[in-house]
Amino acid sequence: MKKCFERIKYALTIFLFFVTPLFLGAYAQQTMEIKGNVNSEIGELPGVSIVIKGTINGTITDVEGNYTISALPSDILVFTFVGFLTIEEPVNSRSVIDVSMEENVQQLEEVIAIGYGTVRKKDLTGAISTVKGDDLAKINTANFTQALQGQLAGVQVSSNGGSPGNEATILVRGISTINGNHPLYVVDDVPLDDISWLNPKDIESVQVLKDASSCAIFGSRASNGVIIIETKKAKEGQTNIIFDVSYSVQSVAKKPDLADATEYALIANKAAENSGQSLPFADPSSLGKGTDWWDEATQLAPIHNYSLTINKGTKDLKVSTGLSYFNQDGIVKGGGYERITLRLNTEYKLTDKITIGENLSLSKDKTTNGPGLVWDVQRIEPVIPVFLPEYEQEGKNEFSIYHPTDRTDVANPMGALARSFDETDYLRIIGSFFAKLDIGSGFTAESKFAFYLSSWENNWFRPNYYIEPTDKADVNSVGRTHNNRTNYTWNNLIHYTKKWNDHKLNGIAGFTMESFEHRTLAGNGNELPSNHPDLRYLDAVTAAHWIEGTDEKSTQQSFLGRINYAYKGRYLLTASFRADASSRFSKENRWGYFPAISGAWNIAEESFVSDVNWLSQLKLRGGWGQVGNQDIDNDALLTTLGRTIYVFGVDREVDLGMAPTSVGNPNLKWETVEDINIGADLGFFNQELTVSFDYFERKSKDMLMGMSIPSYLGSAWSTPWTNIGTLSTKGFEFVVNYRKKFNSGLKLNASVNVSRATSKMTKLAFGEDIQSGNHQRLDMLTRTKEGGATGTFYGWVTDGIFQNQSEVINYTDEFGNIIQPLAQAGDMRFKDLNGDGAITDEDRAVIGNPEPDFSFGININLAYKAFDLSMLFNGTYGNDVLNAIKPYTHAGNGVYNSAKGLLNKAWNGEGSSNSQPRLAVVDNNQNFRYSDYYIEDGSFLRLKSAQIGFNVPENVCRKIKLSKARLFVGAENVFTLTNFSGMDPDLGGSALERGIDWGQYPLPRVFMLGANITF
Amino acid sequence: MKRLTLKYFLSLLFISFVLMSCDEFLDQPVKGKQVLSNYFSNEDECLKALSGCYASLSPEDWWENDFFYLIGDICSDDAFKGNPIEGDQRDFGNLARFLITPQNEWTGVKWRYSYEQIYRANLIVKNVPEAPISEDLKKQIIAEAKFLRAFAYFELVKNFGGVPLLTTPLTVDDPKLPRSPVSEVWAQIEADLQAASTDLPEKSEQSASELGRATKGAALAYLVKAYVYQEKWSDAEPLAAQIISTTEYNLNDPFTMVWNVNNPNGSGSIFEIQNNYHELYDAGNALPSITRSRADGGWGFCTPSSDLDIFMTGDPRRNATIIKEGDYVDDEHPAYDTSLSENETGRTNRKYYLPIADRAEVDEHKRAPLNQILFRYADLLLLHAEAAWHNGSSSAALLSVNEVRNRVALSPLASVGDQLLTDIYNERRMELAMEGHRYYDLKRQAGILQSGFPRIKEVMEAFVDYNMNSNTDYDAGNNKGALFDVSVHTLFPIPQNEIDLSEGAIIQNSGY
Repeated sequence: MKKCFERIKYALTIFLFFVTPLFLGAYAQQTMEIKGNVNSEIGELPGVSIVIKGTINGTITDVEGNYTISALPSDILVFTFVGFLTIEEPVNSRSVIDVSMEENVQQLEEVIAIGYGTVRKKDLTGAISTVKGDDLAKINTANFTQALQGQLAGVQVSSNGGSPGNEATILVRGISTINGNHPLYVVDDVPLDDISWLNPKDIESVQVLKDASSCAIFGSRASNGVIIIETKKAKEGQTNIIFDVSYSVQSVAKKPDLADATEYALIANKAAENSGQSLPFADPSSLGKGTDWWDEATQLAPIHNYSLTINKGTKDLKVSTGLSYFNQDGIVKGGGYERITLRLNTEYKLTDKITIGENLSLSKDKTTNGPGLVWDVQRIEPVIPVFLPEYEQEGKNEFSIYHPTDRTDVANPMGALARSFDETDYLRIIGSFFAKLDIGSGFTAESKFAFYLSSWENNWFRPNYYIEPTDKADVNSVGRTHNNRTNYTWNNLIHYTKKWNDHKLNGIAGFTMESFEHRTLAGNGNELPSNHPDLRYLDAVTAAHWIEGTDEKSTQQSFLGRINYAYKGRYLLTASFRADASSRFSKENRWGYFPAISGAWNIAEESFVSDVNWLSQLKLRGGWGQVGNQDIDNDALLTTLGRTIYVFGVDREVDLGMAPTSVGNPNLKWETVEDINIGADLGFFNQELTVSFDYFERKSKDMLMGMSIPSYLGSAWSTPWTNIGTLSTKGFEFVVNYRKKFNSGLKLNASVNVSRATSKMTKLAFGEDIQSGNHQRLDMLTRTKEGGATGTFYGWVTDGIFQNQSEVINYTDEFGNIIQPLAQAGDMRFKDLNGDGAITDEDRAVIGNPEPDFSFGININLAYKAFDLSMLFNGTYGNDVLNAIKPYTHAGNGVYNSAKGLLNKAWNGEGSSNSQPRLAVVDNNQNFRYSDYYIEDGSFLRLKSAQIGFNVPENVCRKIKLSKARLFVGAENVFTLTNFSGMDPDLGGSALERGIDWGQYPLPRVFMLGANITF
Repeated sequence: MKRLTLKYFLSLLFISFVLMSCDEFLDQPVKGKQVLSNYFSNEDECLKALSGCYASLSPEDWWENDFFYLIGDICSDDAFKGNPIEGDQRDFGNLARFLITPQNEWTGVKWRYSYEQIYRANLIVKNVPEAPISEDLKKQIIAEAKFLRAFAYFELVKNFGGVPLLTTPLTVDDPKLPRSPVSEVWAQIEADLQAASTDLPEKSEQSASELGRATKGAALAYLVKAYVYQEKWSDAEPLAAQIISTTEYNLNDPFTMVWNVNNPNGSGSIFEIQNNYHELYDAGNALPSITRSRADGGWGFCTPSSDLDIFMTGDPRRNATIIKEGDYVDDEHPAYDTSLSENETGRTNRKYYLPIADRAEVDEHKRAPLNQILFRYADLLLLHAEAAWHNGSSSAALLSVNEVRNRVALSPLASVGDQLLTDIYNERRMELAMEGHRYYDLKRQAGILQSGFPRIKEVMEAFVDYNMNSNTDYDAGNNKGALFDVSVHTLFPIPQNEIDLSEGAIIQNSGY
């Protein structure tokens, strides 16, 4: 459509070029009436300001984007509109001047939400990244967090695999605490911890507040960064109906390479032979390929995604409403996700002074929780069939007809799938009601009451069945859990704006009250009359009636204030302050104070650089601030008691006792996170090329953490909360953006973002290492030491393989002690780091760091005529990952299934391998203890999404009564370049357990077909 | 209009401040949880706290304490780790092989739960005297708590040697405790047991609902054991004789009934962990499930050695102690499958074996109804025999050991001198095999062949020699025990994190 306008514009220009001179003489220097229409990609633009250059005379466009103005034929008209590129149009004696304005996607006039207010990007002083909702909408996901990957500098998103509806892990500038690192979400001014209810297509814009100077206005919950989301609202003069539809098919992006039945049997035989045992398989080759458990458990899975948005805006009433439906099946069988959302955003102008409105979102989803087959289908032996032979199935119930495993302790995964009945229903209602009052003299007051109501309900059923002694359930059972949250937020703010001479002042002051209530109820029971579908309900329970529940409430009260001051648009200063009081702390420690200050200097506006035409922006920014963290248990201050179980008496009755379960710490206070940020924004060639750079240093003080204490001080495993740790994080972000409209009509917008954030634990309670990540084969996987990074991998260090017995005997310490006396040729050599002549626990060291040197994203958008193309790459560099399934698939003892080719890769005689030990059942050397053998380079580069769109020409649109239509095809997770041997190196996890592949849900490769239609 | 809006605004402001000034908004109580600071306010709370103190003997899950009761067998010549899966409970296997480090998970677990029990007992000893309850009940509760505290310190001292000694609850702000000398720990154990014994009832005096609680007999029996561990023979013998003379305990139960699930707190039972199946609570024992064959739904840990089996050849107790591959067990298991590929010895522990009908139908690994017998009369008789021998009264020793033999219809012994001691030791091995005593007995007894060393040295050497050179059974060639070092392995290492957390106050046992 825009093209059409441009053509008209060109035609008019050419016409006028020839025609105007004819009239020039006659009409010279007489005012004339000029009419026109202002338009853009999104339709007619009302409210555009048109000013005659050099004067204060002007007008604005009406609801249909039309205007009329009187001007001299030689005047120049300046069209300005927030969020659009300013256009200067010489009148040249034309009486009709139609203008098509272009949206200024990341331009200086862009308005950015900074929490309780907005600011022009140009006037920004802190470190804030932004992305438009339209860019996120290109990723076909139910969950907003997944769409954020690779989009923003300083925001590291790990996808956590591709299970339906899955939430990604988001780290804003790395980790700031060893506890939860979830950012705070603020949706339309309402702070929330949960975002998965939101349809990504309803998002207008996302701004991520990264540094403390920006976040401090959110005080005590902002220590992990703040993600501000503005949802779509109607604009004045706008009426449209937008329908988005897409259909996708997902397939497994990378299938793990596993041994087939023949290789499995050969490995088992070889391992037995090497250990002097009899061979378990007489004729391996007769087994053929056996069962491909991976193929059994995975499938092609569709995603349906529909979204309807209706906007209508008048001067007094703006309504935006919408309905969406999303349905995704899992590529691993047994899982699925379905969601319906309804949204209503309304704003009424009651009087000139009073505006009221509400935002209401209703989100209902259902997750079918699959049985988590990924780990087991890789470990189970391929030599057994899925089902029992038919003659053995007789008389067994439908859950017992699966073949028992023979050599492994893995339960038949298809059996697990058959008896997987686990669904979660989640209903969330998020809404707010607000009133704004224009008091005059630059003051406005605003009060907003918001609520978050959620009802989470999980239902499960487990049938009774018998496959084998270790894979059975004697009784069936059913259960339900309710988990309800009722959160209220009340914001009361006064805004003040004043401009005088070269000064501009913006201020807010306010107070907020928040309350968080959480109630749970769980019930379950056993011995249903049968496994019949109609009896899988609590009503049918006949034994073991169980009920439990919890009630928790916490509250918070805050005062906040902020001043934004600008002088001549060149010197900018922002100062903010917030005071929070939380019910979680004692009266003495209740209040936390969070100040921040930041400034910026727009050098490009200075006269001494005004001659430098190629420099369109040069800005230096700097800030300091403090934010807080109060993420502790509500009862952390108290030593509470819990139930114990014992038996007394002749009748051996169960006796429920009581004992302390925690050690309270009444002296707890806020954790404080402080940082400094220095940044620069540069723009060249009228912002065609922009570069941004930020450097930060952050320090978490009085870090809230569970403290290990001597066992004699309390109940076993008590780790009272304390304010002891100190963690520092440093890093930078770098963004380059290039926008160019070529003469050929080709439009290019490309950007690269690179971020780095490295953490260092500078203080821990008693200097005691924190161990985390208990693995059945490898024990504790990570350690966090004072002076080191968080969650580093910690184990033995390998040094190749003993190629012959004399290497074993000659591997001695200085006194001639054989260091690995139990080893033999083909076994792993470990380094005796402490030189005591033996391999002991003291020979372990940090063998890997899950923190990347940097993570990055590359965004390329091309548009040519009716076509557009977008590509998003993302990746990390320099991080280590731990392949936690390798202790099974590479141990080569012939029990669990092995990686394909292990038979030939394993050491088998001198010189055959220096990395993969011999196959063996008996392994006295403990070759497969936790060592750097399991640590791999997790660097990767992924084409995360690619999309080609076709905009239906306007004349065609008009014929089919549409105002706009775009058809697109896309693909996600197209390819991944990595050295990681597992399925996917893009692993999330908590601060202490990052980068561990626990058999993560496989990444789907998605092919997508869709349309965006505007009526 | 302007005035009106201002009025709205001011009233809004006013309402806000009124609400803000409500401090109650920020006072949110913790809901549904009792708090220690106001606990011990009535009889019920005191009794529940005592119940919690018993619960530390065997907390809910399999690994929390139950598993460690196997250590006395796997760290001896009686048993192996069990299943040969290298990484399956690696640290458990490392204990069996004496590849023990201060990071060992299981010694850490034992330490933690022992101190948990001491903490709970200390809370009672400190708070119950002030509680508004009857003096008789106070005495009873405190006596039971002291018994349990002594039990916990006994567990600590026999595994770790001297340990931090505290008899009242401490807080994080108190200075970190060093290890007390072994003698002081023993002194505390003796003091607690003596105090407990004066206020506790005899087993026969207990009401039906009290059965399973600590008794006077139990307190005194543990006192005997404490004397024996310290080689206080002259104290041990008369006290043991005193308990015997009360006739509170006897050997009337046939041997096959001692560990029978249907004979809890049998006639010879002095103290046992009370377990039962409950459809809701994990009130049961873990060991039946953990030790049973993997072919029979168990986990295959702690399997009896062929060394023990051969030692017991012909002994009437053998079939009630060991199940060997192919043995008849019951009609459902006429030829027992020990899952040879997952069993180091082709055997499984008969004492913890439960017939299918008696197995918990849900969560068997924490709900088996079998009581865990910690102290029984035969044990006391054999301790009496040992003490009597050391005191030179062979006839008293013979009387006790023959009482044990008599139950299983073995002919009375008439040996004398060193042979008698050996016979008492052998009787002890067979009577108490696979009940978690062997390692602790061997390390407290003096060597017979190598008298300068604990007896465990010569036993482990013979065991390794047998396995490596003459054994032709399933466990042939297994060199478990080769790493045993008598200068190190008679005590387990203090858990490393406890040393770290002590800020230098705790010194590690030598050799670790």
